[in-house]
Amino acid sequence: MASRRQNIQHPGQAFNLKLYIHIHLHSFFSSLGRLARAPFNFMMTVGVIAITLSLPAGMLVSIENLKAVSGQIDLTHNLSIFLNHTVSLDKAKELANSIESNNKVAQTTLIDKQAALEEFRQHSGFGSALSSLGKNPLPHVIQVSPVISFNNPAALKSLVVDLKLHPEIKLVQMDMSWLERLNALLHIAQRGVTLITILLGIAVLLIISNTIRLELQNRRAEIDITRLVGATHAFIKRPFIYSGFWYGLLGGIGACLLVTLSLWLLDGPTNALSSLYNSPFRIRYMSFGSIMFWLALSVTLGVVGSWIVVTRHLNDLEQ
Amino acid sequence: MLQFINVSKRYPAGGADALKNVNFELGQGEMAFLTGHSGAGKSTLLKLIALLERSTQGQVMLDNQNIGRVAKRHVPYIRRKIGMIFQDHRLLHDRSVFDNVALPLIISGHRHQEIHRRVRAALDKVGLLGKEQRLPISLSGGEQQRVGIARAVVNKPPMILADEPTGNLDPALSAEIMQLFEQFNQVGVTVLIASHDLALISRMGYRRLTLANGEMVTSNG
Repeated sequence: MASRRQNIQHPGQAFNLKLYIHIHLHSFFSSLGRLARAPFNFMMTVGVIAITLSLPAGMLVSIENLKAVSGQIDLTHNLSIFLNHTVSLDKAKELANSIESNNKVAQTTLIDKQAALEEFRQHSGFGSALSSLGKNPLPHVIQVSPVISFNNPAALKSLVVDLKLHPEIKLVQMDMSWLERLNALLHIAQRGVTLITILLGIAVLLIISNTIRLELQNRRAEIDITRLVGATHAFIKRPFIYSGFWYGLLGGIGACLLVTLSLWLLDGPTNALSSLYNSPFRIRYMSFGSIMFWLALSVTLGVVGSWIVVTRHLNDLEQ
Repeated sequence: MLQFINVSKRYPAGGADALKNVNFELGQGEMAFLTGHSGAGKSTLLKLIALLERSTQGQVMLDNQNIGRVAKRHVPYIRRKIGMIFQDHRLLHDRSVFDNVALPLIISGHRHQEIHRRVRAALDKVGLLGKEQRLPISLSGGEQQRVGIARAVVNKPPMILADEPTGNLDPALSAEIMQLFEQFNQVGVTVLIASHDLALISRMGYRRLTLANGEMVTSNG
């Protein structure tokens, strides 16, 4: 763009796209070559950027995993509907079928109070105490698997309101308050990660700016000489901005590798744990989209950071 | 080609004027020496032409353009019209001779083959053909100065400015360097050389501009 602008003012030099691309490719690769000539310094800066960005990236992928865990609880979770004592077994079956026909309900299971009593008698150890009771204290229970996810508490509550319209129903138990709390906590955590991302993003910007500033100092003589022989600011800036690009890109790749490596290290123990809970849960690695997000973010920070420093430096130099 | 009209330059820190009301004109294709004691203002005068400094008063005209008023973004294009040569060569020591000489061409976006052809031609002119891949540090002082000259002329600028180009060289080498400038002048390049090598200057017999304490005391022959 810079060249195009200059071209308007200096019509003697016709704009040539091929040449323009050629000049860009030249600084693109020569900036990489220059960085590769001081690999230790280069890798140190890239390492700092990678570690800095891996923190928010790691936190974000952890939150996504926690969400996935809570999401899987939803699938196995049911509402329990306790019916009035007076409701007969036939009436209860009828009610279960009618609830199942509700489009918010995936499935219902009727627990017969007699069968429940037998089960309780056998397993609870209160067998003799129960025998002393004249009649069965348990009501019929219908377990309802809702179609709606627990991540959507409002929709679930409207289902509960629907169910409570039935006069046979005494109590609808919905053990979801802890899930609501978990979701709220995850929400806070996500906010927190956003804040941390912003702060560490600024940190990366400063790291890259400072690195480029040092590079500018080291190449002071070279900049002076190129200015003397008539280099435009755009020409002088270009290799430094590409340096910023490389720092950002490689730092971003490093961050994604660090996060993936950490998740891979957690994969085994997590599988062991989730198999203890009979859970199909598997660690979720960074998605393609989030990798692209972090790469784009770090490249942007690299380019912006170097651009600010180089522009300021050159403006200070020129009268 | 070049004209100074009542030019004064005062550095903000110094107080005294580095140049005081300087007037002179240099015609197209002319060659002249700028002399004067150390601190007389020779370097300042050259810096005003290359826009490394701007005048406090007066006008510096290059090609009938008042370059003191040129916007920052146009400055590089003014500098491309001028080949600058320095006493300390100002070469890039981590680049080969070829890359050093090619720099002005790369900056103005010439094609690969064109760069090769012109760099070789410039190096041939200063007698350094065959040393393209050497690093400047491996060359002698005189050779490094020739690299600087090749870089200054590779872009075929209409004007060459040289600041003490023979300052570090022995008389024989100095004479060779001056011959190079004469050759460029013979093909129409305007040449202005700041030097205090009075013996050499008087032997060559070109026009002499003398500065003393920032004032132009002689500007004719």
